[in-house]
Amino acid sequence: MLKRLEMMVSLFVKITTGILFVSASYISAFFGWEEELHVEILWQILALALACTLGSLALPVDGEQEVSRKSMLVRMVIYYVYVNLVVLFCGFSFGWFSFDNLKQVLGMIMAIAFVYLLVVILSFWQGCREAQQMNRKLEKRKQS
Amino acid sequence: MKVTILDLEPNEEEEIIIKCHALEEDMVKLINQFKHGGRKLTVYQENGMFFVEPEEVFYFESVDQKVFAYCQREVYQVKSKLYELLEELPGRDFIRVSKSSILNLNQIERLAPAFGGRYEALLKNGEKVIISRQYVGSLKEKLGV
Repeated sequence: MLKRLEMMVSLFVKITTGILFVSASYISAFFGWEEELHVEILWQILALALACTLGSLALPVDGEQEVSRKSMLVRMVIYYVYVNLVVLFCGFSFGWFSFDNLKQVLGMIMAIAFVYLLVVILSFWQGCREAQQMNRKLEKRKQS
Repeated sequence: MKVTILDLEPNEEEEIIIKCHALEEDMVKLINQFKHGGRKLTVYQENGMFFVEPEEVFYFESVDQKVFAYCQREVYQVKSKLYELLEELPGRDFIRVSKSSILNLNQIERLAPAFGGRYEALLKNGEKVIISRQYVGSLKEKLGV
């Protein structure tokens, strides 16, 4: 349970960072630098990040029942579809874009793909760092 | 089973003679214990029975209800189950890394992240062993990360 919570908090931070980054790019691209924002957008970003994080319940965490490579791949695809649906639904509800404007819809889909990729890359980088730490400990073992 | 202990003359060499109908698994383990102080593992190949030092084993893997010990080049069959091996092997060096394998930490060249939160251990003989997500925590703990 604690592992799951840890994983979700870590994911929430990554998703929030990603959404914040693409929101800045998206608003600049479609509404210009002079656009004024309301405070509510900050809460909308946090709510969206939370909704996306909840979908990660489909993904296993360390110490849980082992899943096969295929099952993991299927879960990741399901999660990606979930994130797309949630972001498009929330984005539309929050008035971030209109389905009439194809460019904005495509922009949203690209933004989702970007954040998803960013989170995957960040998670892989985290794994690399942990592997490095373990390799250093292994080196120490060899020397002792 | 009858056990007979005979007194020796001061200049006589100590000796164990086993009289049995067939060499059972328990008996072989007992012989191994007497011959090698219990340190060596009893392993099998088509051409007979061998004794190997645990540190020579890179990893153990269970395949189709059979357990195999993978050394530098040779592969032997082991009669013990994985959970029995974990009790027999030195706990500092060996760790369970998946449902079907036990890895010798001293034979790892390096670790790298793999797909889906797993890790991949590249061994000194060039083989790769997957450390499943379920056991990553205990590996980190063992290494003190």
